[in-house]
Amino acid sequence: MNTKKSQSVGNSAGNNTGNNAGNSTGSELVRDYLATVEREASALPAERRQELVADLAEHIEIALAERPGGSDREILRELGDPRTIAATALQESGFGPGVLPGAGAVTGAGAGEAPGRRSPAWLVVLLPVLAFGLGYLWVPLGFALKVAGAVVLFRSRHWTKSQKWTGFGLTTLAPSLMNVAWFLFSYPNDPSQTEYWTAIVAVAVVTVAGAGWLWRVRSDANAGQRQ
Amino acid sequence: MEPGDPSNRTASKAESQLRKGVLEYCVLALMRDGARYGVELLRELEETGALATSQGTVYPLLSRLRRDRLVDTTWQESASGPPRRYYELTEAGRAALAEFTGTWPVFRDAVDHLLAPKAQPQASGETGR
Repeated sequence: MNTKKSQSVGNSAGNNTGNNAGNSTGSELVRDYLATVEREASALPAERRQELVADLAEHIEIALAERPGGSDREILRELGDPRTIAATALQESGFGPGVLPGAGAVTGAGAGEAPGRRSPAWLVVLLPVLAFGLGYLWVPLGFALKVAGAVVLFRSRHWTKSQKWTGFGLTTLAPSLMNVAWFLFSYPNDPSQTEYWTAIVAVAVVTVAGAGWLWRVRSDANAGQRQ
Repeated sequence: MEPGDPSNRTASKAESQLRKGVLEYCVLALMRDGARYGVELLRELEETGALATSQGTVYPLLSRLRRDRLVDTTWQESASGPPRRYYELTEAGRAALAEFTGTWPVFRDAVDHLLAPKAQPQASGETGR
């Protein structure tokens, strides 16, 4: 899964700053501040937490060096609330609570670190089509595939909520209703061969149109992220 | 140490979400012309007004960019004070920035188009693409 990305990068950073940050920014205020960040970020893995504290310590030290008249109080005020920083760090690492629902589309998808496995778009699109085809061979299989298709569709990150509902309606709901209508109304009246095939083609067209539409409007949230 | 005071402006929720969404690319854009160190990046972000929240929240972002290999860091001695850690774009970072640079005008035009009052149909079709 995605969290493996953390592997090697950035751990040297923590050690490096540890050396020079500790001595010269020894003010009580700064120590308290960094301790608060560390405490608030306790949900982060130790390595990440230390890296964050080291980054901030380094910032404070350099900002002080560059601003001879500046006080550490002023610099800490500009850095901001330790809780906000810790919360941001939790979100960026994908460990945090509540990525904002709206922002998720932008930042969350970009981060690509939502927990859990997600199915690729092609599978989501393929399942209802298979459900249609195989459903004629064995109804329970078609039904199972429809359910699976709906589950992966609604869990997917490739579509917005309204797109998912449209897709679900076209690929799954409408064909199912057409099947039900067929058995309720046409089947008892002894349909002709032509009627039978027309119905099948109609269901196929709706299903494939829905799948094709889903495929066209999908967004590859992760594709743009690296290379 | 009193927290509070995230920035001198109180951004609306929509505004702060917007800013949050594009901040990453603003940061990448600042490195386009060469390596920058943290304090320098934050100062420039602050000056351009692109910063959504307090300065400190940029460090978790920088840390993620580093983990995602969009930026690389190197230490450089400084004439005054401690050594600085410089951030610079990797190939992947440059590609991500280029992609966003292409996406942004289209996105901006689309939103502008939706927000613009419909009263006078203007003949300037610059929203196409």
